Amino acid sequence: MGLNIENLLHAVVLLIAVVLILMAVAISSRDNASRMITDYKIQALLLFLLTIFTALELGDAVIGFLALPPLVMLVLIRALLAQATVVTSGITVWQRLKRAFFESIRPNGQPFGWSWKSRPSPRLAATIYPAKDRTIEEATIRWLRATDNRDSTLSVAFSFLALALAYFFAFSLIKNQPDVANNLAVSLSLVLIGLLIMLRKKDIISQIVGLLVMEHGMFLAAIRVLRIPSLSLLFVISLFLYLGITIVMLVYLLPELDRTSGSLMIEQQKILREEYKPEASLQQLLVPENGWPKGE
Amino acid sequence: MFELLLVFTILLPLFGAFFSFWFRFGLATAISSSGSLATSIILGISHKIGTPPITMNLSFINVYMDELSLFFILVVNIVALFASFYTLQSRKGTSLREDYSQSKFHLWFNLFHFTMLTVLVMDNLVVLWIAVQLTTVSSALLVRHSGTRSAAEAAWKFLIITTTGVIFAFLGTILLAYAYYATLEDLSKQKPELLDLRWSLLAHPGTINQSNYNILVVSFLLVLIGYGTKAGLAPMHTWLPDGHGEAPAPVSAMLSGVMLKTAFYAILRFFTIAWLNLGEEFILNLLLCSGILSLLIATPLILKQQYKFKRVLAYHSLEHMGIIAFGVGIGSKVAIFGALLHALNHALTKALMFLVYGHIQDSYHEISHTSAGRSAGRSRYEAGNDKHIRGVWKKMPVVGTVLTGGGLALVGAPPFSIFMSEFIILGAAIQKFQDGPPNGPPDLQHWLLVGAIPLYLLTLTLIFGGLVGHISRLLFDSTSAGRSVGREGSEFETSRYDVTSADRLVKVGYARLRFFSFGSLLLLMLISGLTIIRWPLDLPELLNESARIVLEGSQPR
Repeated sequence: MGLNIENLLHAVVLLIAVVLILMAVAISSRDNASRMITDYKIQALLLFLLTIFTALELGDAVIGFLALPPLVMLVLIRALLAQATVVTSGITVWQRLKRAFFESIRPNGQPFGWSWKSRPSPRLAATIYPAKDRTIEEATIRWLRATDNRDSTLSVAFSFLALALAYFFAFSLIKNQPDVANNLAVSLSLVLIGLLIMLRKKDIISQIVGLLVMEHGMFLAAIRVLRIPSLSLLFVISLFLYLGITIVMLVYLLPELDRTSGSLMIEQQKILREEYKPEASLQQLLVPENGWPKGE
Repeated sequence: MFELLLVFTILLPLFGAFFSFWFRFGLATAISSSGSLATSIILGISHKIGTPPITMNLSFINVYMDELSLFFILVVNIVALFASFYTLQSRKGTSLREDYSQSKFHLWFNLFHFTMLTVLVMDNLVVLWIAVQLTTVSSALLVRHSGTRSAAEAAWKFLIITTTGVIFAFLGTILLAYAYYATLEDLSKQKPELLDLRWSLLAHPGTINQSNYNILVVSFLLVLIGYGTKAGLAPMHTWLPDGHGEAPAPVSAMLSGVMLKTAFYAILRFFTIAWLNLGEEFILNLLLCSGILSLLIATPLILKQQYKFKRVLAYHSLEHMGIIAFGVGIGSKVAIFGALLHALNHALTKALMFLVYGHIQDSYHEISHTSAGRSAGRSRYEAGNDKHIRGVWKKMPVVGTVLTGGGLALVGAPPFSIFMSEFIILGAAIQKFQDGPPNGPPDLQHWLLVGAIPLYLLTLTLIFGGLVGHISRLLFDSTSAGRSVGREGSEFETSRYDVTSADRLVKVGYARLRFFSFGSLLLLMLISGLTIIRWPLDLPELLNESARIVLEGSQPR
């Protein structure tokens, strides 16, 4: 057990796994969507690195492709979530995606760092910034205010409970391979903490972050538990599809939810509950005495 | 030859999607669905039962069609055919082109059909997972199609709950793969074909080591949670009433009639692997308990007064998924035969109910579209309350008759098909109880059945009463809502209806297609209630072989 490259890589991977869990716990304790997203970004970056390391370790280039989804989410997450409240009058899904990408690398049209142009060309600007729309920054401010989440101490306690549960479960399941058991435990705890986030947060943005944390757990299980090169292409494809679904959900459904209900709080999304009764006056207005249609 | 037919069966909905979206030609949906059904029936006739399954390999897509797949393909295609007749909506003038939103609906409808068919023929379990996930997307976009607030909320709920659930199914698949690879020694020397996670490779006794049995149990549990969320089994059923209630009628029919069954098909595939390798009653007890739990949870929800009839129907789907899970959980061949038959019967009946109720809603909806009550009508419709739909029997005699027939079939009244399959499952349960375990003292399942059989009968009876109440209120009660209105009601009497969708339907003649589908569904249910259909397909043989596949895996007879 000398200090060679394999052992170093192994230690780094273990460290990354620990930080991944810590970030998940941090997300569950945040009461501010902005910080939650920052934590999520750190997690995505770590997962990206972990995937690269795993690809190096196994010598499998296909697993390296799996590093792309976390990277994409790292770049796009804030802009995608902001799509929820951006007024999207009559622009297509493709335009929304393009806009999300451009605004995430150049917020508010201001160049920073590595952008290759200081301003978008007029034609590009016309397609990605249709008139009268809210910008991403404005939209973000709107839903950042909306968060009102529950007691964070309890969340941390629950998270550690989930962590203990995951470790107990994984190590009692896989006895002879502690390395694999550890990886399984980390991914299970990410899934459980993500579920906890989804259950305890009060707004839809935080719920989505919870779902994305669960997705990280799934990624980790696919990369670190199995280690079968022949299956990796399939996992790449399936996880890419999963990511696509998440993006469809964000880009297509969230703005509609916000437009129709005017809010992103979960309390406002309960009109389908049984207790809900429409006002009596409306009901009376609409039921005629005997004016039903005759025949089929 | 068989391969070509299978490819046609699966790809026709894709062509339908293309033509209906690109050329805005809505009839393409109906044409492709009927074509798909026709080819699948020809496939069923020509593919002799007991011959080896049809396989095709395209890199990572391994198509594998045995009798179980064929049976589910037929169920999906029959329901899709009748639902696609229903999607033929109004047309502007004489042009066959539809408006953009309508053609988008057709696009997603066809893709939904296509993804469900792909779920049924995928051999590789990871690809199966992808296909199940794709059905979620296409159906969620269909649920939100009406664009109202409640539809957006329902689609959101449906998407977030099923996506979360499916993550657990993925973990279960990974654990299964782990157990499988732990059994194969020295992976690098194995043939690459063996390394795929294929059902046809795994569904034999002894594919998984005894030391990995606990991993297999956990994997099955996770899969049951994951796909059970999509199949609408008990604790994860909360999206069912919202999704079914807010979707357009043909989509509700597809969701309740077949999407739940395709998810259950995925559970069945994993069940075979776990059952063959473990051979323990534990797996059976798991399904038995989840079935009984579904029945128990569904009963009070159906007895309760719901503000929307479609929600009652959705909870009723929960009950029937419970019955199917209960049937599989009994574990004898007869019981699985009954459960599969029940899947078919429930699909047909529930599709009929959703379609008929959608037609009634359309007709009653005209009132709220009069020029006087337009704005108020919209908001009432968005609120989703349908207390105004009463006295259908008097207003619409033909539809009322169909609704009565469908309702009787749905509650399990004797001359119709659901009664038969429920009775087969009950008989199998009693048989299993009487036989007891083959040797030794009574085991856990014996005692579970002691509780389960009375509960099964009790819940079925209670649900019978509850549903009859709901349907009779719909059919005969013209007093409660109709009389308690204010003076505003008279406005509607005198005003002429606008040319609404239902009016145009009658003009173009597509209403007749709707009635054709109602009538043929009812007839089909009546016939299959009196006898199990033997022509053009030998259904009993097909079901027998499917039940054998569920219990004994993929080895030849």
